[in-house]
Order: sequence, then structure tokens, then C-alpha cells
Amino acid sequence: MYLGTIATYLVGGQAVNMDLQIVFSSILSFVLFFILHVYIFSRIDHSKVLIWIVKTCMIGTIFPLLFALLFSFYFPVFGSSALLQFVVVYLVSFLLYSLLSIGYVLGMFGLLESSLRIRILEKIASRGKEGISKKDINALYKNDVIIAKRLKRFVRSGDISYKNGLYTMKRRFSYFVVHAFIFESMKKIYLSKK
Amino acid sequence: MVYLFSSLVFFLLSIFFHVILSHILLYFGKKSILLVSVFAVGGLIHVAVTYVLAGQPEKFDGLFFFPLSVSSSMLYFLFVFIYLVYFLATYSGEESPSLKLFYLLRDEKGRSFSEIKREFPKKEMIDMRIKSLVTGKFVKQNKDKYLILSRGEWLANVFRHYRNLLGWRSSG
Repeated sequence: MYLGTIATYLVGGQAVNMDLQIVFSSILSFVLFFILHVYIFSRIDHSKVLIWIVKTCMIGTIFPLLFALLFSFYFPVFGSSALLQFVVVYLVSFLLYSLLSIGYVLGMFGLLESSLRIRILEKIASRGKEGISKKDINALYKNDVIIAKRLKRFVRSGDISYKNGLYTMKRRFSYFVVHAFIFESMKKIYLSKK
Repeated sequence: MVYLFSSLVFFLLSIFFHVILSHILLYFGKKSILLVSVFAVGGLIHVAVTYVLAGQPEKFDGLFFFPLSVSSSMLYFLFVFIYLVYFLATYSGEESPSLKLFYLLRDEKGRSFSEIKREFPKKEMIDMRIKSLVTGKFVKQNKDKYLILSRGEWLANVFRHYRNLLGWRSSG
């Protein structure tokens, strides 16, 4: 109510309700996605995370649709048809939900799942005031283990194949192709590196 | 539509100015993280534009001018957040082991585990990351030991709770 009053004050007009419906729909969709993600990820095999994070994000796309239906049926916006309200709320909240999920996967989940830096930080923190030597950190993080873990994840996700003792990249479109492309573009744009 | 379009336009303009300013600094051999404030300026201009549009409903009416001030601002914020995640990873100059693996194997030649291992020097994998934690004041070096600082402890706790929430024992 308070938010609605502020928003009405800011932009004026009845259609502001639809604006808030979009924001609520996308945030609630993301919250439901997060609950689903926690439920699924506490039950799956760790090496299948790449597949499951994509699947969970896809399953979550149903939520903006459900909220758009709910809002257009039960909270009609004055001066707008139910169909128009449904289409606008669904499309925009779908876009916002997708960006929220991508932001979460890149900014939070990705760090937890594969960041060596975070893992080292946690290890140093676990030793408290006693501290940890570089030798001990190196002993904990062996190159073989770090590489094997990532190869296993890629093989499970289907990005890399393992045949006759050789690892080969598969020619296919995946989340990682997009990810790598953005990084390469950033390097080219900012650092003028190929 | 116009409101959402405004988010996209000001986001792209912010990228443009950010790139230009970064290259100017680079020309003088400098680098500054403060340049990301360009995106805050872009966001403020976007908010100002939506305020002007919403303030004159009789002039800007119809489906194209549907007032989506909050949604479009959220859209701008999310665009910037995702962009900055990529930018900061590039800015740090480090490459994640997964990405390096991806670049290494994409020529489709096929490599054995020992061939792959050769491309990952330990110094690059661990030492660079410890150094960045010290630079970021997350940990400090005391003789041959590394000790956690309050900022680092807070971050480590956040990730420990997050890992517990997912029921994971290890990662990284």
C-alpha cells in the first residue's frame, strides 16, 4: 500500500498498478525459483549442477506466467483490458525474472560453485587466528583435483566428450558458449586483446 | 515500451561512455574502477526521463507510453549488474579455470589429462588468487601465514551459510 502510494506519487495515473504488478511478479517468481533451486540442489549429484541450474531457471519461467494470470484475473487495472494487462505483465516480468536469475547464477551461485578464491578464503577463515601457510593451501588445492572436477562437470553437462583418454569440446550451443563469448568480447573491447 | 526502451538506450550509452573513458585512461597508462560510476549517471538520467514522461500523461498517452517507471528502472539496474559481473572479471585480469579449459579444448583436437594439466601452472591458479585476497583486504599475511580479516570473515560466513542451505559439503 505504502509502496503503491509512493509509486503513484512518482509517476501518477492508474496504470502504475500494472508497473507494481510487474515488479512483484518478477521478484516473487525469483523467490519461488530460489526455493525450488535450494530444494533441487540439495538432492542432486554435485557433478550435474550445470545441467540442473539451466533446468531450474527454465522451470522457473512458469512463475511469471502464473502471476500474470493471477493479477489479470483478480487484480484488474482500471482502464486496461485483462488481455493487455496479462500480456504486458507476463512479458515484462518474464524479462525481469530472467535477468534476476542470470544475475543470481553469475553473481552468487557461480562463485559458490566454482570460485577457487572463495574456497581459499573459507579455508583461511576456518583456521581463525591460527592462520594457514601457503604450503598448506597448496597441499589442499592440487591442480589435478581442480582440473578433474571441472572436466567431470563439463563431461556431465555434455559440453566436452571423453573418448580413448582424450577430452574434446563438442560443437554445440550451450550456456558456456555464450558465457565465453561475452568474456572474449569484453577483453576485445576493454583490453584490445584477442 | 518507451520506458523499457529508455532503459536499454541509457544502458548502451553508459557502456559506450564507459568504454571510451576506459580507453582514455588506458592511453595514459591508468585504470580505475571508479569509472563504473558512469552507469550510475546513466541510471539517474533514465529515472529523470521516466519522471518527465510520467508527469505529462495527457501528452504521452497510449500503449507505447505505458508508465513502467519502476519496472524500467529495475531493468536498467539488472542490465548494469550483469554487465558489471562480466566487466569486473575482465578487469581483474584473471581467467577462471573453467573458462580457460573451455578455450583450450574448443579447437576440437582432443587432449589428454596430462596435456591439459600442463596449461594450468599452480602459481597462476592459487598464488594469484591469494594475492588478490590480500590486495582486497580480505586476508593479511603475517610472516608465512595468512590470517582472515573482518571483511573476509563476513564473506566466508555468507558463503558457508549459503553452502549449508544447499546442503553441499564442498565446491570450488
